[in-house]
Amino acid sequence: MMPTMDDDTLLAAVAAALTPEPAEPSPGDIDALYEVLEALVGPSEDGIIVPFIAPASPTPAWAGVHRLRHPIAAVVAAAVLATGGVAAAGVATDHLPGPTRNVAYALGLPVTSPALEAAQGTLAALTTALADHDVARIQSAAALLARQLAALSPADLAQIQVSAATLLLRADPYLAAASPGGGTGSVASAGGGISGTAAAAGHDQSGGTDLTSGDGTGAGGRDHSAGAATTSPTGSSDDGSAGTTQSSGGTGQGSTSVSVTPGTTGPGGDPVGSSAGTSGGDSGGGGNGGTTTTTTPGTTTTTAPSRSGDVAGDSSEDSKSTTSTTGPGSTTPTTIG
Amino acid sequence: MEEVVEQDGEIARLRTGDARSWEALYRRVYPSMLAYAERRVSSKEEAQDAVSEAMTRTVAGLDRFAVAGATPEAWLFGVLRHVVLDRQRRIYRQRDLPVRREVTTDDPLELVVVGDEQAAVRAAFERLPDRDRELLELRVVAGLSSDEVASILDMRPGAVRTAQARALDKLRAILQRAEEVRR
Repeated sequence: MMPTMDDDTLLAAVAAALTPEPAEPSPGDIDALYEVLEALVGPSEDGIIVPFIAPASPTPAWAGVHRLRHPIAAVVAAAVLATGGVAAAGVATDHLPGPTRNVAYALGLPVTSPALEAAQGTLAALTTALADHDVARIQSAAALLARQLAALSPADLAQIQVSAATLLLRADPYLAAASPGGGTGSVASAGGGISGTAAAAGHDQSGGTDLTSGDGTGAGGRDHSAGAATTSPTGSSDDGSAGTTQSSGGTGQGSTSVSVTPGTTGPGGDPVGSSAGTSGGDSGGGGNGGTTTTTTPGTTTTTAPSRSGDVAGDSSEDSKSTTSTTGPGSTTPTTIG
Repeated sequence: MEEVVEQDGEIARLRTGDARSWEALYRRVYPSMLAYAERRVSSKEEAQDAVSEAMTRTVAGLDRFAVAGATPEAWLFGVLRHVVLDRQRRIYRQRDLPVRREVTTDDPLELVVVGDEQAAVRAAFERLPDRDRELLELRVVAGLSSDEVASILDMRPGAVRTAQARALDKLRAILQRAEEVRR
């Protein structure tokens, strides 16, 4: 009897035989369901439908190819590929024209960044100008270099900070001479919270080589602020004619006294600056609110808001620095940021 | 027609993440999902876990569900099948308990002692190869169409119908043999 059943009957018999016993999901299962739903679409209130934006249709794998049929996109893509090829070819020597370098850098190829390349070019120009004693060129190159340094990433800055600081220090007398009244502080103190060689860099690069010439003890590593250095405006600051502010600590020539207000160390921040009564420059910012104030003729006030943690100024925030030199008869507020 | 409209409405609500609709679906399919899982894992608790996991995965993959074009039941059973397979593989690796409860003997007497017709069908069903059992279960227990079963088992719908006919032939043969023994 049963074995002679046709397929439909047999299927019905199987269905009857396999009918599941009544069962319900446990309250825990329901809760889990609601939790997942809530995580996905937000809480549901009394069955109110919370809109869920689902894709209207699956994105086919060839969608990108299809888009390339658009002529403009195709041309751009071809240009990018071609430029990328050139960039790849030039990577080995790192001799790339500007646009190609931009593309190569954007593609992630191991080439010098365009910003660093430009800064290096300015460094070379400044070197030449210094060799020629050409004050005008020194001025323009130094100012440009300060701006370029301020825009560099910490990694790029680390590559040229020593040479940049050295050159800027060499350039400083020319700048001071060319700008009576102390207008040159803006170059040397372009960065906020600077110590060590990053003086002009606009970054809080406390680490690395410390060029402060005082008796700064620069512990090496990230924070060199423990030492006591005398910031010395190049030239005479007594008459305010060359009230140069050098956050790098200067060379100790002048008589300007620097009193460092220990910055408040931010949460978790390393107590940079707080350990130094005086220090080269403004002691790397000293965490939050490192403030250096000089109140002698040729008053220099450098306020360097530095982030807590003070990780060597890897943020453009650190480059917001206000330097004002108020020598008799001259005031030059400069803000670079 | 009305049923199709209602199903479309439910799918739309499910796509929006409507909690009530999901709960209703969960309660509706839970018994068959649990039965499916129970026949493939080592314990009822593990089957419950598998169903719960399948439901969670389905909801978490709401966006994919929304574009798949499948019925909720088919989608759920598809996910459950993967969950169960994962667990079976895990158990196999651990050389743990038998994966499923089944009739393991070929002794016809076992079928003779089966009392009623439903029990006989169940016993015969357990003798089917895994693939046939799964196919029939998805068709008659989960109530899925040939097309839906095809998508879950990664087969063509025509192949599902052919495989189903063969599975029923095997089942019929087993029952016939049991009947002969009983006589």
